[in-house]
Amino acid sequence: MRRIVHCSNRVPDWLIRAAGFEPEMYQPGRTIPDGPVPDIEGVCPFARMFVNDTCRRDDTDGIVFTTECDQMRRSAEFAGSIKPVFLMNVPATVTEHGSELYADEVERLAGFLVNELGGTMPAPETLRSVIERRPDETGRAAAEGAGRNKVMLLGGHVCVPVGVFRTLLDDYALDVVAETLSQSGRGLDACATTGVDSAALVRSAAKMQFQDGCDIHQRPNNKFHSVVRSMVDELNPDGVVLLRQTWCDRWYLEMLRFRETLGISLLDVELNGPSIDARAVCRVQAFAESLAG
Amino acid sequence: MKRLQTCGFSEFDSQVRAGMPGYVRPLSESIESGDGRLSSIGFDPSDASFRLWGFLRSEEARLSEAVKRGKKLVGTMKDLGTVPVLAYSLPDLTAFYPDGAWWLPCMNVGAKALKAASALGIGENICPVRAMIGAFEMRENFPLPDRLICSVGATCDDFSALAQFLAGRGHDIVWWEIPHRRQPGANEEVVRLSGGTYAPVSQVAFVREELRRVVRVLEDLAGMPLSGEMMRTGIRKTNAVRKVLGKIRETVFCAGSQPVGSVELLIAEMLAIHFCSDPDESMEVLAGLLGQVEQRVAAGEGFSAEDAVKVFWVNPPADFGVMNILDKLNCRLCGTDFMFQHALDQIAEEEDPLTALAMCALADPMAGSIADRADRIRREAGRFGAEAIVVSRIPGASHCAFEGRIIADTLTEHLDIPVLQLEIQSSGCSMDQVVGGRMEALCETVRSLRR
Repeated sequence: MRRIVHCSNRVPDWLIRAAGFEPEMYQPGRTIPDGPVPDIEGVCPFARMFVNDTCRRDDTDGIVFTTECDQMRRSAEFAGSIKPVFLMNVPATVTEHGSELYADEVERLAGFLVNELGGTMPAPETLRSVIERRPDETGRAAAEGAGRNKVMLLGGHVCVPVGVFRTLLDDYALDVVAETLSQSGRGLDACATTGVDSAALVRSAAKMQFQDGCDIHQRPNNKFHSVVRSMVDELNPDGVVLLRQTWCDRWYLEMLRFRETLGISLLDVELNGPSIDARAVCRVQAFAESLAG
Repeated sequence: MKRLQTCGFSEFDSQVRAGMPGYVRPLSESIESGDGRLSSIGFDPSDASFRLWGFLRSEEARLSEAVKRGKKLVGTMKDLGTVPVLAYSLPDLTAFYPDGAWWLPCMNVGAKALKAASALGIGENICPVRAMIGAFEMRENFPLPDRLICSVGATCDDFSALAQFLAGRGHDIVWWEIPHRRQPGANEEVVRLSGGTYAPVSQVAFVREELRRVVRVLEDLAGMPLSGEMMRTGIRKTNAVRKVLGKIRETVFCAGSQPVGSVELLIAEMLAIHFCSDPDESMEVLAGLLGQVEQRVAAGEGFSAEDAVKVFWVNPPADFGVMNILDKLNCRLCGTDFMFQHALDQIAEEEDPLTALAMCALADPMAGSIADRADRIRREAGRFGAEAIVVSRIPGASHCAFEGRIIADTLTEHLDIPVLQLEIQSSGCSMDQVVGGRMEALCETVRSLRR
């Protein structure tokens, strides 16, 4: 199967699948390979890893970037000379007008997949079946053991696989009860989409996806804060662990806000590359001990 | 050719004349009240320059005066040069850029604003525009605006995040969207923007609708409708300011010797966006500066010698003093891109006003690709005969890490002139040692290339 890689839950996987490609939400590897994005101070290590890794992969037919984050938007320029690249405008403001722009962009992505990469746009019935509801991937887990504390994982893209970080938390008797990281995705309800032809279906599904979306990049991003707040109220974790990558201004400033508004212990873990350094490990350990005490 | 020298603030202050506008106060007053950085800057010793500095230092007083006269204040954020045109087209509104706090550290007041931001956890990992948060927090440097309007979409991460942080602290913000300016598709209708870039007509239409939303907000605030004719008048007024600035730049970049101090040229260009807090006075200030520049060119006077190294400067330096280094090293400016090139271009007067402003917003170099920006720099550097490019990096700014490399690659490929990247700290501590040393090496390289 031909593959399209991206790293945003605003990229419509259903469209990529419908056009005959396998969508892949990029998951970080163990190293940052050399590639078109140079190692310059200030460059987001995740953006560098994403571009350099996907550009060298033989199984990738194209890369979809979004404009949600400026570092990613700029990174797209480096990848364009190596792989087919699509830069998708995702509006930050959630308005009817913004939703129309998003739908236009999804249509444009369809054109890219079909005209530039040789994909196909299926009949409405097939398309409708592809636009299926996927489970909510905010990853709520009930795991809880005696003498262990519950934490919620929050944050943006990092170069470390989430599984590795979860293992670290587990080592220090911290159970993850919810995860709202940037890798999470949301599904769509096929029944609610309308339209008799494929183009109308695509627009309808796109608008739903846009209106349904919720992340820190929206302006204002109160919806995201409300979602996190309600998860905290519902799941009652003992603390929040916020993961962010060095040079990520957006998550850094949100971290400051969450620290003020959530009202529970928050551990800010800044990662600078593809490994969890000793400082981060020590901080997690001390956080676990503080919660246990 | 007579070579002029910059002077210290005491000598500069001696030029206070009777008849100058009331806001033109001696620099010593600012230094005493905390703007200590001014004492280490070299100034262009002229009345026009004095008035320019006076205008720069008096925004808070002028805004307070506007409030006293019953005007409503609109804080326009991030969009450089678009919303203010709409705001001052309404008689009872005065627009200004809270982002202008970016410049506070250049005079030292910012140290206070930066400290206030640091107290909230916003430190040096974030662009110096964080001084804006400190200014809001302290309720200093500008009166609190009645309305805050901020553009989002294709903007730098640091500003977008800071504006959201501000909203999180209870400041109500109207957000409007400028999408990333993309390359038009093969079958799309295209419009040519100022600066030689292109955009799909559909994107212009989108931004136009966003501006309509902004117009409604401004009309509500002003309590009166904003007609097309009023907008046209605002655009003509803006164009008049941009025209004078264009003449100043053209004259300076083409003169035998640089006829204005480098710091003063930077400040004059800043008025392309900051003039909105007092358009009439800005016009007077810039007209005075143009007169001074033309007079010096006619007299063969300037700050550089004939063999000066011609430099094209990219990005605003977070420290005024760094521009003095140019004068000291016998360099001269032959082109600038302080991140708001589009705000120097004429707005299309023949277009529907909102469409013209949408085109202006989309022409913002930060809304498009770095390659587009590099291409304009290449064209202008070639036109003015620049021998070197300096890309001044802003510490903590999300775009700077990337653009230096792309701009350097583009220019090296097409112009074959040296490109130097400098990181300018707003603290000013690295100035003479590191920045001066690197600039010196650049000059030597250019001179050896001449041979």
